Amino acid sequence: MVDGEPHGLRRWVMDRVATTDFTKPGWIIVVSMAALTMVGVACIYVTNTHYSGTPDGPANAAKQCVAGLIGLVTAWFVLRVGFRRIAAHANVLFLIALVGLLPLVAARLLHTDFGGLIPERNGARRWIQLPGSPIQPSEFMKLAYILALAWYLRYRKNYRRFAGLVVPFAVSMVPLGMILIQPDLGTALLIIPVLFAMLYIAGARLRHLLILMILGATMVPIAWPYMKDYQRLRVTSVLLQSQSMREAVLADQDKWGFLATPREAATWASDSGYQLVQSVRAVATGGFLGQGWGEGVYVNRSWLPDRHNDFIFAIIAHQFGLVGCLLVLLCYGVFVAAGTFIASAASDPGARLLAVGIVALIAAQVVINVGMTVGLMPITGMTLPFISKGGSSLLANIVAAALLISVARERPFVLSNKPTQYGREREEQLLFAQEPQSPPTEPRP
Amino acid sequence: MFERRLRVLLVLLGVFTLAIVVRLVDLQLVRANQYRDEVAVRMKPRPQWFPFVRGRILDRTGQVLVQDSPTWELCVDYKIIAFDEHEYRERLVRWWSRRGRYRGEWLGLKSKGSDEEPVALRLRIEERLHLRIAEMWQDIKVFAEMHVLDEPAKIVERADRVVERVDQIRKNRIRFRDYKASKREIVVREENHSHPIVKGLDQERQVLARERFDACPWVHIEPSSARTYAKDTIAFAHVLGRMGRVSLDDLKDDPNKPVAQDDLNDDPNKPLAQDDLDEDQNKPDAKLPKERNELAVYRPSDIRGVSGVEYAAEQRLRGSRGRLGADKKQETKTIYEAAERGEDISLTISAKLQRSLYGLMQGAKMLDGTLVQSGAIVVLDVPTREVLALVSYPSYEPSSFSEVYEKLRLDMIAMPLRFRAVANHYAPGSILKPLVGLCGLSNGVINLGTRFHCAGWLDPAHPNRDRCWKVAGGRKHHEWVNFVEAIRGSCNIFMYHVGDLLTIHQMCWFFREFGLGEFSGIGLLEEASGINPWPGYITDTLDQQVVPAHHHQFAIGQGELSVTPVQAANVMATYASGRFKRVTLMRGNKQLESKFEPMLPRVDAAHWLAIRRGMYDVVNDTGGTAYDHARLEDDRYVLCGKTGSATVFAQPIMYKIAYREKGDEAVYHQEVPERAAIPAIKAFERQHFDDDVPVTVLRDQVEAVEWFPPVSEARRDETPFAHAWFGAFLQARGADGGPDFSVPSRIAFAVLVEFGESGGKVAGPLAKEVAATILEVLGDDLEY
Repeated sequence: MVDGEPHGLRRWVMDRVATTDFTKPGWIIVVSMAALTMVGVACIYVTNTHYSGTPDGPANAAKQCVAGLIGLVTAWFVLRVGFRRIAAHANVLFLIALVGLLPLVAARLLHTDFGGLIPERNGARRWIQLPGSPIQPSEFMKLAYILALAWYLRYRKNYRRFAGLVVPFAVSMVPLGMILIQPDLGTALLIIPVLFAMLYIAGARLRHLLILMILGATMVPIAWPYMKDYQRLRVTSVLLQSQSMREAVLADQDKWGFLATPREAATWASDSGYQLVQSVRAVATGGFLGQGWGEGVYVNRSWLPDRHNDFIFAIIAHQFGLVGCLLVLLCYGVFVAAGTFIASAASDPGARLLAVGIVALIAAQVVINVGMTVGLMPITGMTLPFISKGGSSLLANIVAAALLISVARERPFVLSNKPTQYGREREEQLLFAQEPQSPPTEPRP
Repeated sequence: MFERRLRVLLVLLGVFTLAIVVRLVDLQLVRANQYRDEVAVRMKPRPQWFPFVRGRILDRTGQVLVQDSPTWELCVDYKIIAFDEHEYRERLVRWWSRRGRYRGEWLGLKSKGSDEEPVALRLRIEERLHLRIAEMWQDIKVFAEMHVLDEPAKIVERADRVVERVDQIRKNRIRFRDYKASKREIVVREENHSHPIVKGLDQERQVLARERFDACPWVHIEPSSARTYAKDTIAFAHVLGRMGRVSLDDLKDDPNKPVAQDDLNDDPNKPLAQDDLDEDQNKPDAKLPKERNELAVYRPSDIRGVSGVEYAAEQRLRGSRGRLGADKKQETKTIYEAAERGEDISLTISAKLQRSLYGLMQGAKMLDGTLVQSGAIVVLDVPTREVLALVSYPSYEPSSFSEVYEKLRLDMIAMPLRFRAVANHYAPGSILKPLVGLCGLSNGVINLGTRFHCAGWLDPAHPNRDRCWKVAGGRKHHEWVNFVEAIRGSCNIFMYHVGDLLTIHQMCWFFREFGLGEFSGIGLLEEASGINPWPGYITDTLDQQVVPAHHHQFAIGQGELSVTPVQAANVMATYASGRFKRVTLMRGNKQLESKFEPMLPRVDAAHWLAIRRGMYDVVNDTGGTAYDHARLEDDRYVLCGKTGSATVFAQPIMYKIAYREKGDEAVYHQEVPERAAIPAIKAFERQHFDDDVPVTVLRDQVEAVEWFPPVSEARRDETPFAHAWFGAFLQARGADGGPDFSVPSRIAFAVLVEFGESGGKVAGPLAKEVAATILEVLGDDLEY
């Protein structure tokens, strides 16, 4: 060994970096995921959730880091095992996830917290209080659901018929119902786009899916009168954020009364629409370049409730401005692009569906969360993947990413009976690469 | 197919992303400034207001009659007051649970760290709020000076009243805005305010209250002030007036309100038209060309003077509040403006004299030896016409007004709320006879030597009509009398003859020069102008023809003619001095001082002397009507006066209202204590304002059922009663013991005893005591 040359761990890392192809989709996913998680930790670090004692931002950031580390360990485990072996037990995992939801449903229906095991937060029971940290089973449910659905759909053809859609929908309705009972509208709503995306990719007929969508849309006016006031207001808030619309409601109840009562319209900005108003203000006051990390009134004051989890995008926008927002969206875009690449390169339908499901899950979460933050969609409790504070969410998302990478790693192996064109080319390349080459020999004297 | 479908999904995602990016650009680039402004407004410190001290009201010697003393109010947020109503409870619990983790500590909910929520937080918050609010009411009882063992309901009653009031405001809003459904929810501003539950906390108790309610962030101890009256101010209650809540009209017509665009069209420098002045002369400060003071603007929760001097001098007494807040021009700069106290108002009244005269009134006796029920005394300084005493009897203790208000309002016999000295007008009776005679003299229809024969009646053909008072009860008539003798003996017949020789127009014009039918200049809201019945008044308002009976009636001060006690006293001062001047109650009232120039009635000096001589004789000559009752034994002054009795009939004090309920044919009756039918109907309608079943008053069936003084229904129209008058002035005694009319008189006064029957026998002795009291209080030199 020559003196001055790197050795030990450093040498190992340098060798790894030198030999790794970071342009591979798997690595792109890792990099974008890491960037997003770091942005999240940075934002959680500066937002304190209560002011009575010592600031809790750093502590929360540390917890988020711990969740991330656990996620990395789990991801390593997933990569070692491989998605195929995990997916083989998809049904078991799905059942386990359903069983995980059972105590929450029971707690909700029986109005009990099982001795503090399932506490109520903001009127919902979504968490199981384990020693150390609470976990949110519905986050893992999403993953198990995607795995189970992908594995169910992979070799079937019956979803080309309308009747064939019954089983996937029935399977979806079970977790959907259980999650709605908690209630966790955000997670429940997430299942629908994921289901549609996976069915569509699997090859279900577009008109069947459209019929189902139209059926669902016609349910809204029927269900409208039976919805609770606060639920209705969440939907109408998208319209009520306009001052002129609120004035119209006050002025002409006969015409606009279905949106809100005069009292609701009058107190909207300070009552049911408070969070939305503050969120939009936080986003807008970020401007082009933002107020700077840890700066800005919405970071330093608790005007925006839930700004460290569901509304963290508003805090990003406030601190880093339009530029920061676009960069974050770019990271997600890169993630989605890489995921799509992996899906299209995947060799068998099961892997492909799994990849699409995971990409759809992440993309739908981002669109809904950012949409509600900027006032384009009704407010639902939904985290921003990798960024929002929440151990279960981060852990589940990292595992999802790991599954995606696992799919990507499996590309060289041809196990499908229907290899894609890309797969064939690749196979040929690999076959060619495996041809033994004669070592250069020196002529003997 | 897979690739194509994947592309479709990607395009769909791209559309959503594009929408988000467009929205972000819109918010963060296009409308960023608008939102920055909104946040800047929110960042601004909420302006703090500091109450001002209202000016004091002093008597002429500087003695304080009423002043503001700093107090504190214990106010509670409306949502807590109305906590039992589901909606507010929901909102509050939601509010607390949304901010629960750190705010919850106020409620004693222990925070277990950011991730450990209390079990069923909302339920616990609600439970804890209930408990804390119950404790709060219990604690407030202590500050409301209630006994600890008193029913908590007693203090909660106050809260209920606030809720009722806010409900009423909401109801009114629904009514005025013409909402179709009465149950429609609307928000009123009062719901977001805190409302005072305990008022008048002193320094020590407010500190205690702050400590006690530290854990109740919805309890606010607000600085305030309270009107504190000097001891024994019962005699001043009407003069000082009352404070009341600002009304909707006050807010609208606030002289300090920033100028609206519409008002700018009016030229502020334009001189006020005479009509405006006449219309507003009992609101003297309303049009003062004072600079608009934004800090003195009324707020809905403010109180202001609503009667008496408190009303009349409102703009001067009112200070301007202090402010701590952001500068309008420089958003970031905080400015502080100290509160300014209001101006002190100095009255011309002598507190000592006022109290003494009120005491006299309390002890005065009627003919039958019973105590006087009601009356008034007005004392004027003749040269300046400053009011030295303005007694209205009976009165009430102003400091406990709110507690006894209902009792006072329903007392229809004594009517203690009436400000008799200025607000009631009565027929002047014989105290006007000198004026009628003077009118005859000035118009040349009689002279000092003119004599008329008094046979007890005017027309021998109708001996029961137009009679002289002298013949009643079998007394001897006056025989031949001249002007001075007619005054001395208060001869009706002489005056009838003079009235016959004059036109109504001549008489009324002359009365006007003595201020009859005009506001006296005292500047109080309550003041009545009395009636000077011009021919137009008789023909147009009363729809009657002018007949000789009117001449006769006016000549003896009866009929439609009526004066207030202040006007009567001013007529006496005019008799004494020979010049008319408006009276003054408040010093420094530039508007009134400049408005009214003193007038000199066109009367010869000899005629003035004749009047004074006649009035001297009334009291000091054996033939005078008040010789036995009002003669003043004093070395330096003589009392010159004139008795009077104003005929009046019993007045209704209770009305029976007939009404129907909607959807019911039966007629119901309810008795309402009032002095006239219209107010009785209005009072009845007010009582039934909130009824679920609307009622309709049958106006043609409303009838009076009780009268005062009590009299049988059959004889009601034939039984006249009389108010007793005595108008007088003090004249210096000459070397010969008689009056020295060359020395200007200093004091004039009028005494009225309601239903006193005899001016000489009831008002006379009282007037004598009044004169003695004046001399005693003001001193022999009348240096006051």
